[in-house]
Amino acid sequence: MRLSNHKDTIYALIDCNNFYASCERVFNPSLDGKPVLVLSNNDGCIVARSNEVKKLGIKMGAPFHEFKEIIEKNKVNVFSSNYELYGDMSRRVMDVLMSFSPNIEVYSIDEAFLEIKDLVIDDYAEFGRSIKTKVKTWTGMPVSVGIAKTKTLAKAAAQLAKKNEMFEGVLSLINLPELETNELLSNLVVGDIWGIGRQYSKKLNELGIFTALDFKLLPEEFVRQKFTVMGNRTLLELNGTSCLDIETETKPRKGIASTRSFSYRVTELKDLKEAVSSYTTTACEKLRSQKSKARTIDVFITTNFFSKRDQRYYAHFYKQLPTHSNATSEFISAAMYCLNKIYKSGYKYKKAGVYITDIVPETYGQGVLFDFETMKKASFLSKLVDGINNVYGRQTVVYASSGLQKQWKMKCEKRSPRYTTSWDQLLPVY
Amino acid sequence: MYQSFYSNPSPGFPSPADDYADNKLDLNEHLVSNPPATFFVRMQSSAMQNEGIYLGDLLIVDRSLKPDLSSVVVAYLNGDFVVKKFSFFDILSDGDELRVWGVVRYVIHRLHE
Repeated sequence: MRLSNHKDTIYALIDCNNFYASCERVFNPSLDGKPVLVLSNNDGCIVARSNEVKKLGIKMGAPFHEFKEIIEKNKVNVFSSNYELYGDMSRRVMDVLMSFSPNIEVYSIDEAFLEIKDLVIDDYAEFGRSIKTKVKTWTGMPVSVGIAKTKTLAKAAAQLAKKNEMFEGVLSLINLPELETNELLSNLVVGDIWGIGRQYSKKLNELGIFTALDFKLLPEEFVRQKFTVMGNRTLLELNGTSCLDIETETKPRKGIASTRSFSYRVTELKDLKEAVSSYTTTACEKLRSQKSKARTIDVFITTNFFSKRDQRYYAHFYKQLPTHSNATSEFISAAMYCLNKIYKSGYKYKKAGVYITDIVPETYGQGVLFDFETMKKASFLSKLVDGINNVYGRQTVVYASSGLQKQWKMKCEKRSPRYTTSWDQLLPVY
Repeated sequence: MYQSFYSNPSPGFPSPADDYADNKLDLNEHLVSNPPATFFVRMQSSAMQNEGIYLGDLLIVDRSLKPDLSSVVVAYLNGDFVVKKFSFFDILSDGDELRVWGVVRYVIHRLHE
């Protein structure tokens, strides 16, 4: 946390509109303007809602059955999460954004900061519109763009651009008179400010501070006292002093490797499994220590290529987790899967290793679909639903194992095809 | 005897044969000029046989290209995804809802099942 010494650095925050629902709409335009909602992995909880669904009062993170009647009555289109599709679409959006600036911070699956330096731009609103247009044309994804001198203000601008139709999805605060900026900030509540969560929001409200403008005008000393240095940083940023730099991928390591040669030739799968598990554990520890999480693990095994006697064999396989994680157990699971794919008996293995990639900050994904409070609630609810499902699952097994399979199939039935990651699920055209 | 098994292409570990792999011809590189804007779709009708697009063909569609009259496009027309020559859409009536989804750049046709 250091004061940015970059004069004239501009930040843009690009935020996809109703990301999951919009992904579905790209491949099914009949859903445009219609209520769309997406459920979690086991179809338990609502993880995404289009604007139309929000208007129906359906809550984020709520279990599906809680709103079943409203959903049916309003013909809401319900989908099971299609993470392969959403992940792929996110990568596409980020790739397009990189063409505007190499300094990109992928904040979450549907949000990114761009740092704009050394670019001569006359009209920032026009620049913002060109970003919005390019992303929409190239990927089909609608986004909102906020441009300002600090990340916190850029995020506030994007929020306003998203909520207020008159901005047509783009709002630049650059060179805007202070009075106008304040007028705009009075339209955001403190909870909308990046860095101010539900708890701080409550505390501020109790002190009579309700809008982002109210907060902006607070004296520094007061904020530092009541809300620590983090609150102070947010205050400075809202007032136009940049304190937060872009965190590009070059800072946390792009990949974490953990490998070792064996002191003797290993031939058995169980020994390789033990070794690979231990390398995975080490790599995950490194991941956690640098406050990151990741999604892909690549496992390799090899014989000694320098040996004239040993038969040569080298293979590697990678697996992607459904979402970013830094849990050792998840990575070990994936690593074992990879190992099973590549292991061949009859070879004398000399070395094995794992390589973890697709690394993002630990905070990736928070505050996007919902803030930490709601996220805790959602996972609690989904654990509750899982518990209930387990009970029903066991009962089904009593009757017939095929019955249990059917139930699992039904759970994912509402998932749209993997249009961009599965050869047999491509978009059909006529 | 050298035996090698490359399970899937990946951004992970370098392989011992990497030094020799640089000049490999890559179809993906050749056919996809703009990856974030390129999508693969499957032709499910024989409507475009005259243009050399057959049932079951794989189409490489680029959303970043601007179609001209000779382009073949994927479009969303009145609730369906269709493949048509862009010039076809000159004859649309007022009630039609048309959205050009992307321009077809390549067709991959498999000869024998």
